[in-house]
Amino acid sequence: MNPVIAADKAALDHAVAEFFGAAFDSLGQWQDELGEAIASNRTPGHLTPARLDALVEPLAEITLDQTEIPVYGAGFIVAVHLLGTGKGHLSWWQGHQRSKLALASHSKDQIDYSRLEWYRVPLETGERHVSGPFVDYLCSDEYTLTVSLPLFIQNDADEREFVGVSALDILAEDVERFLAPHLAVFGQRTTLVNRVGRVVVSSDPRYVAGDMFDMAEAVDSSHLDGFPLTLVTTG
Amino acid sequence: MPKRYRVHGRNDVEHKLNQSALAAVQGSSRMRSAVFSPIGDEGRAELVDRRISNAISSGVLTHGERLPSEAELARLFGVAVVTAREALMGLRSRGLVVTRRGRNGGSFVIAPELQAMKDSTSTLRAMSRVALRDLTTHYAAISAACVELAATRADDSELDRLDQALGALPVDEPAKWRRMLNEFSLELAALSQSARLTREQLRLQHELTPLLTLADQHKDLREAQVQRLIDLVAAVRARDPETSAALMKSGVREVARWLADKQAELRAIVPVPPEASSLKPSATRAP
Repeated sequence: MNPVIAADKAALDHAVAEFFGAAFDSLGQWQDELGEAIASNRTPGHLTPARLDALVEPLAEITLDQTEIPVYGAGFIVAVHLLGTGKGHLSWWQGHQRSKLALASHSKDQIDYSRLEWYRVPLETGERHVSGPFVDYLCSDEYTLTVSLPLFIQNDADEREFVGVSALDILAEDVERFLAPHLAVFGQRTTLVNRVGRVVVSSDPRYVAGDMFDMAEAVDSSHLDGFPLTLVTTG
Repeated sequence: MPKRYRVHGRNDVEHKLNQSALAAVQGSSRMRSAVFSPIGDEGRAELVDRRISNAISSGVLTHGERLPSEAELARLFGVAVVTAREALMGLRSRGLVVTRRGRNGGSFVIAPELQAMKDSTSTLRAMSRVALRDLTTHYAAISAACVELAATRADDSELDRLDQALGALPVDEPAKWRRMLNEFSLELAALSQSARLTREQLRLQHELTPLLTLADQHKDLREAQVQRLIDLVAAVRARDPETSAALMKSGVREVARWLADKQAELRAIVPVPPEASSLKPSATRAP
């Protein structure tokens, strides 16, 4: 590879990694605090949806307030079994008005989120994850990428216990707005794909977020260290 | 105390009944007597109201069942008659109880699902054939567009999860059926990767659900629906947009036909009054 292009490629890798890294950092900032708050509020019957919302709201606001990345929604999604109500709860704020998510008003409160990727993968792997782009019919109702982080606490039996997932949503079009300029500077036709080969953003006019990328077209690809994402060049 | 509210003891004659029948009888009558056990001096109308409404929504008190009289309720709950009266008023205002005067009068339970069923029935009867047809046409078009896109854009792991959800559809449980089917349909629509189409699908689902619940009691219809979905998901997995769309459209056509037939049947039983001129407000009495 021409050394000049290689330098730009490194810059591109760095820009993309920084973008998603900033998202995880934003959530990581308040993980410990939330973990401690949940651990100390664990007495039976005490941890209610309302109590959780009160604990999470100021923390979610930290993420919603930051200006480095275009966050659409943020909050905490509790482990399904934790509240003892038989169903889970999303402490979630989103949109320009930072409206609190009220699923019951949309008849969505019976949806079982434990099967959704942004919850399931962090629970199963214990690792942070980027899901999407996907149609987020539970929260944003838009084409979205969700960045999520599992939260574990040491419980009374001194075991590591999963208590839920902190997450933030970025609209697919905002990812495009932020990353497309970096792809353009690099010059080559480049596509960012997720772990199943779905396009996140592309400077190749044939590809838009949501399309399935044909790996046979790839000239060069580099996995983004620490993220389930790959940058592919098509020439 | 009326016999049906007697608390069952171990030496009771019912003990000689078949054990499973006995368990059912003991369970439900124990729950029933628990409903009417004393509340305590601080008992208020809301507590009485809630005790009864919980029993109604959980099915412990059944549709059409006659509640004890005001005086009896007061004695059972250990509250003043006026408190019992207030509780009954609250239950009436929320449509959970209806009070009839006269010889065979009293307060009778109205179960929520059956109330919903009555509402669905009146909605379907009152709707014009034109409006019903257009609603299902709209639904067919959007649903077909969603699966057509899903056939080209879904990933195998997403389809695996869809297959799991399909296998978990509660064909034998009418009460859970509609909710789980709706969740499945939404998940399928989202595989189109189109936020607009998915939002539209959800909106139409909301509009149709009250009408479709009329079909939910029929096991053969639920089973037929599962079979259609199996074929549909197979077409999507085979990456065949044309077949996926065609299967979805024919599925919705079946549903539309059932609703139209049901509508005609309901109207044959209780004819809809001819639509008055635009000068008079239209009035259709609920059954």
